[in-house]
Amino acid sequence: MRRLPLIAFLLLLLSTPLAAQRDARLEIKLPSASEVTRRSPEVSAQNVLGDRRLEELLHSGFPARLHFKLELWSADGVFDALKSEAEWDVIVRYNPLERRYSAVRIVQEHAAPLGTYASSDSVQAAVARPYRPSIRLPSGNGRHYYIVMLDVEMLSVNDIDEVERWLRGELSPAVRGERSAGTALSRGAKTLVTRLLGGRSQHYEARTRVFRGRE
Amino acid sequence: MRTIIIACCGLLLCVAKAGAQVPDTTQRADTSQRGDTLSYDDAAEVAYLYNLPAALRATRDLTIPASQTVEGDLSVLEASLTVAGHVTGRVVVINGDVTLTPGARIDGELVVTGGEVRGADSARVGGALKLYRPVMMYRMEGDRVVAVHDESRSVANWFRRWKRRHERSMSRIKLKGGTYNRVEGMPVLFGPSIRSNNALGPLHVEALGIYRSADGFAWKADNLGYTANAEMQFGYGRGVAVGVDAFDVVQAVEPWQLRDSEIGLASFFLRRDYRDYYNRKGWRGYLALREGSSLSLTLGYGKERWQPRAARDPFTLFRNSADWRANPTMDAGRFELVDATLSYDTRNNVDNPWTGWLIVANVEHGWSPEVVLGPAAPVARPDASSPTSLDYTRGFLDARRYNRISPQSQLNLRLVFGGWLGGDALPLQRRFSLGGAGSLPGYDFRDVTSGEDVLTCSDGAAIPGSPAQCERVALLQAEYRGNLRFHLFGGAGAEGWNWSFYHPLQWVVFADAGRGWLLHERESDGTLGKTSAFPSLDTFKSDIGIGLDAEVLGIFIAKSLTDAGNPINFSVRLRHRF
Repeated sequence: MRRLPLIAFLLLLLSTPLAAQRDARLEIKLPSASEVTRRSPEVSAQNVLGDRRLEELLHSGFPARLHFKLELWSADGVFDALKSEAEWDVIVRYNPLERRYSAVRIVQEHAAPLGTYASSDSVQAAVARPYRPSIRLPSGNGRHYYIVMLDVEMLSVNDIDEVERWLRGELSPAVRGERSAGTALSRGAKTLVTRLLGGRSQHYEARTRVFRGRE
Repeated sequence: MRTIIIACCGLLLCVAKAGAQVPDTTQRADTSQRGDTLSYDDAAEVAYLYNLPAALRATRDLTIPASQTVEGDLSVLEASLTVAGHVTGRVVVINGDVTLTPGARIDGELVVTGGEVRGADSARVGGALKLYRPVMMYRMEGDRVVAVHDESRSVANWFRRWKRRHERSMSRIKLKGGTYNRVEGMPVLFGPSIRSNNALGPLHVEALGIYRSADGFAWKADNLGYTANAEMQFGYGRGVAVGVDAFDVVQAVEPWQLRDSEIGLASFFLRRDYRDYYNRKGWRGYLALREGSSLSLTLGYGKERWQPRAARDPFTLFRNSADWRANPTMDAGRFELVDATLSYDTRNNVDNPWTGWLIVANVEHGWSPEVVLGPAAPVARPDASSPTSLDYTRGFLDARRYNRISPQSQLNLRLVFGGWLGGDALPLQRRFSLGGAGSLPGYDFRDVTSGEDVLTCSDGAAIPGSPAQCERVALLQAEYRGNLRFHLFGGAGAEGWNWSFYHPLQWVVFADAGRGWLLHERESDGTLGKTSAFPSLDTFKSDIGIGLDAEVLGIFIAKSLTDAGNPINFSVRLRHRF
């Protein structure tokens, strides 16, 4: 039992990979002081798919989901208050037939294609382009700040299966009772292997400085 | 008459002249096309125009100065174009912006995809202006652009369905594992699960058999069970649900302290099971009022048979030769239960909350004509050598408040209060204890403290398994969390600063205080007397501690404040403490 603290500490370190990814960063940039109540901040994610394992999974046909969440907080009271938030997703996918990567930004019900690209670097550059989300802006003279969070996850075997079926035009969902339990077990095992190989999610956060609504 | 004709001719000439002086923008407005969609046919046409022989092609940002004239067509791919001069033909720009300076002139049409056109009002475009805002999907075949189908809409449709995959109609065979514990080993649940969405709302039916791994998956009654549920909710999101459960399950006592995942891992790896169990067989019907996922009120009625279960010897990864803690012998009998549960959840994030409330309040009234009481301390309840009737009312409140107090720190509070509200003494299944990682980490789990035992209320009686015997419990937990600032990437800048990391690592300082108590206490002369409703605060146990929390895993050390002789305790938690 005396070794338990050491084991736990090592586990903690393993769960916090510090610099495994080349230049990966999430950035948020406030508009100029005169525009801070009229424009939302710019968000960009650089090289978040640059990890070698993520690239391999992506190239093997596993779609990547980049889930962004932007929060506007007020810092006026004893406790900070969440004033508004915005969420959007970017789906990156590799099409092995056309040998091209495609990226789509999805905001609520609206999908905006970000283009198709021949190389991983190109699609990462497209994903990294600054985006200004629609969010309710700060008003008055209060103190505020933005926090943006990004979760990158590789979608599992089941998810890919659903993508393929959907793209083939099948209206029925992929997970169906007509499949045998053996198939379900096999899919579960594949999913587990996928996760163990690195199909886990990665989390990033960034925030702005505290600013006043009218500076 | 001649004068009139001349006047009319003059007027016509004036109108004609005036018409000739109308800027080209008027003419272009009639033929301009601006759209937020780009169909495959549109993309194919743009690709066709791009592939036509052109006087000038560019794949980098390009500027046509005022002094330059391009004789023919101009095509630009994935780059921006600025025109100050003159293009005698057509201009096609794929996925780039176009800027026309005053005086710029394009004799043919201007076709742009995936970009914007600036300055069109002050320039002259002879042909139509076609602007498609979406980025055009294409591939290159040599120097030729070939339009490809845009999958974005399909992907978006799939993604919307994927996000709601747990809410849509489905039928499947479910196979899942339950929480590993010393009574069942690994319970494996297997059976059909159906969800059907209809006009009234979702209908959910599930029937799972339970097969337990203890005793080497032996096929015997102890290893078999089931759980089934049928529920019809009227309305989606907000609605009224009616449902019925049927079950023959091993039920945990006090599931509020640690999560199932923590119990399972501690049992499987370390042979330490921090819960007690009993068998619960019967049915329950309920009516639930739901307001999305944030507010619900559930009223239930059921008939159940409770029976004690003994600990067995399931496999564990370490300490396999050590003995399991005995599972206390619980009360046995047939109960009728009426309960009401209110749940209120306004947390901004379920897994990693920074603001909001989580309140769960439950009141249960139960009665049974004949209960065989399990062993308990004499002070915990009157002795009963033969079966006795029970009629009790119990309440439980778990209220949590999450507060962000700065961009990188938070102060979180949790209050747990539960216990007897009326009637007879509570059955053992409904009693409480404190101590251990989930409540007072400065004290060991089921720690019989010196002096008055305010953690398990055992009154010093040695009972196998050390069951929880307190009839009431109060616990206050507070923690201050701060992000560890790793400026690994990025840093201070003119517009502010930002940082990023893979897992949010936080340092935590916490303090806990609480105790359990009985409604009777032993007087100095050895007799039992009634206690006050709430004990003196100086009898509470308290601890403080620090830790590192990586959201998925946290390590904590805690020290008792009220019992200086207690050693420092170390604990590992999955996800946050609460």
